[in-house]
Amino acid sequence: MAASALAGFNCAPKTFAERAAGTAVRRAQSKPQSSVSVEIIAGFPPGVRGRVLFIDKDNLNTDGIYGSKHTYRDDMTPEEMAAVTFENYDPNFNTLYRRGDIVVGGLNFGSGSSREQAATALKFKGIPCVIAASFSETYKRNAFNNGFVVFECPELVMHLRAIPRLRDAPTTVASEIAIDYGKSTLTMDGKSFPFPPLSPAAQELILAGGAENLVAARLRAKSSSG
Amino acid sequence: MGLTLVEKIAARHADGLAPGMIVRAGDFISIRPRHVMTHDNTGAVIPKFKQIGATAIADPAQPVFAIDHDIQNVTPKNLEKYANIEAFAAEHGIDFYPAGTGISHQVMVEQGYVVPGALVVASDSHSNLYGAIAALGTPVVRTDAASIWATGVTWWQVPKVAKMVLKRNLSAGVTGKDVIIALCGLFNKDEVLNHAVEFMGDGVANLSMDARMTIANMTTEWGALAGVFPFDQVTVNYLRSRVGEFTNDRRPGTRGPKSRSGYTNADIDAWWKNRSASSADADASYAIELELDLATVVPHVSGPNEVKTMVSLTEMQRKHVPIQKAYLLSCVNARVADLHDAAEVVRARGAHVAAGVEFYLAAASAEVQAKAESTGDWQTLLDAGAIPLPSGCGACIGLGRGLVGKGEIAISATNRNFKGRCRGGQRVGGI
Repeated sequence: MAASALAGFNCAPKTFAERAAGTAVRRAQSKPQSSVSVEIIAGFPPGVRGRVLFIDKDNLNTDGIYGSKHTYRDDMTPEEMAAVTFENYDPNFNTLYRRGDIVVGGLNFGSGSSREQAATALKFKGIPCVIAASFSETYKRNAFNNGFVVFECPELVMHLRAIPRLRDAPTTVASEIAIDYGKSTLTMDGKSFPFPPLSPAAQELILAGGAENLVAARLRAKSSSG
Repeated sequence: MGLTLVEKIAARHADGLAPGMIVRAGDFISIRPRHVMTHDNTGAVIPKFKQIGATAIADPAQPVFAIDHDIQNVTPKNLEKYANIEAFAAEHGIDFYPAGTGISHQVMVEQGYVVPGALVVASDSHSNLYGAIAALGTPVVRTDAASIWATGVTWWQVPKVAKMVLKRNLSAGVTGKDVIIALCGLFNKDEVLNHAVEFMGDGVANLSMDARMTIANMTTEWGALAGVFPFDQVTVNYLRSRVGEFTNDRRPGTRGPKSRSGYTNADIDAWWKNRSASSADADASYAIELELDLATVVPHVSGPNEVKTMVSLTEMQRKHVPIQKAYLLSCVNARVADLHDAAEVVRARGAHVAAGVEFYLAAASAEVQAKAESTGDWQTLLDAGAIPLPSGCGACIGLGRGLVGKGEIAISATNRNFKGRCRGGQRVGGI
């Protein structure tokens, strides 16, 4: 840095030998998630059933989920927001969608911007949850902070990707899925897939309708008890 | 099966966890961090806090406010914002560090909020820096900050944990910045995306605290949610060097009656005695294990415009890329050792900043600047023509003096080179 500033171009204070970097990578053998018994708190649905809409796409960004042209329009109703979901990714999505369908996506779902509507609009649409091979961390925080369930199940995505007909279009209709939150296992096509447990802390957040509501409820409970 | 350091720290800060219960990567827990830092964005968290109906801070020792982003902006509007943040801190007994103290993450470390085995969060993406002190530093969003102020807790899903083994030693002249630039460039296929990285291996022991801060800080650009170094002798020596500062009369900032800042030698002894609680188990299980031979790292420049592209400095030199702006500042570099290295280069060459180049300088904190002044390094850089800026984020986030002009090419010791962030061109690794 200082050497470059003195010289007026990018340069080094001394000469360095160039050589290949010594690196190694070892990935843990993918251990299938074991199914875990989870306490279900009062009021939280122990399970969900629904038809799967499969989105065969990695790195689907928030613009594909909820277009930027709508992002700064603060006057849209939840119904209007729900109507425009995925239009940038696949205009046919909204034709295929039936209320209650469960969306399954690929790796790094919801990458890109931090817009919250990419999560809230799906909740308004009546989608019970999104399952993906992995999520962008920001998308996940936005989802739970707004009371919307998302969870990873890469094995389910591999299963769907092995069915050729589900790779013919950007969005395809797959068979029905049954999610058991109490056993942290889902079932599809007669196969069972464990997923990371949705702990009571997560259920509480969903049940309250998001982080701000949960905090407000806790504050009310505290002030009425003491 | 053993536990990673990240899992241990998460369990220690999990709220409502039954005694003896462990926490694993992937678990969804409620966390009670030791601290939550907000900077200028404290001004945005206050209305959120009020909007959710909160009036009292659950634990006034938990939040820390340290102003650093827009400190060159002395418009009445910005000064009023800072005054409101300070008044809110005074009203609630929260520790407060005004503009000019330094870059918030540096202040968090210097003022003793970051200690081994602690979970310290901040509403800022470079919270990863705290990992240098064997703490788990990770970013949160403003809603989380408001939630922590109001209830002491927020939710967190323990990330997958990556093991990063650093072997052997760096060659002379190769810095911590070169290590993290190399990691970003060599492992650029999302190997650690959304993971917490634990550094280990025989190469770690010879990385100074300044180098660790630089590396941990930029694990953010690598895609990681945290980058944690082990608790070792380097950590202990650093902590001991800080103890006297907490009783220093000239210590910056104001602290509330319940402040948890600072520590004593007895605290350090106790942490060291109990260090297995702040270390990964030998049989811990990791999602991925990476290895880098430090002896093979050579200085690199990343860019233009993204961190995953890197070019060796030797190659850059061959290309002879003229520059118009140079920056030695930010939370990733600009600590005492960085300033000293730069001053040594100036002394060795007896030279002045080249014609047509503006070389901007800002220390990581006022304390760092004072130390560099006392050694003469600061003056050496000014004599060579460097332009000093107040200690803060400034040009790194495109605020204040010395921004990159249209079409200009810049090199920088900062952490991000997104196009347009500093309103311009490129950026660099080592000094």
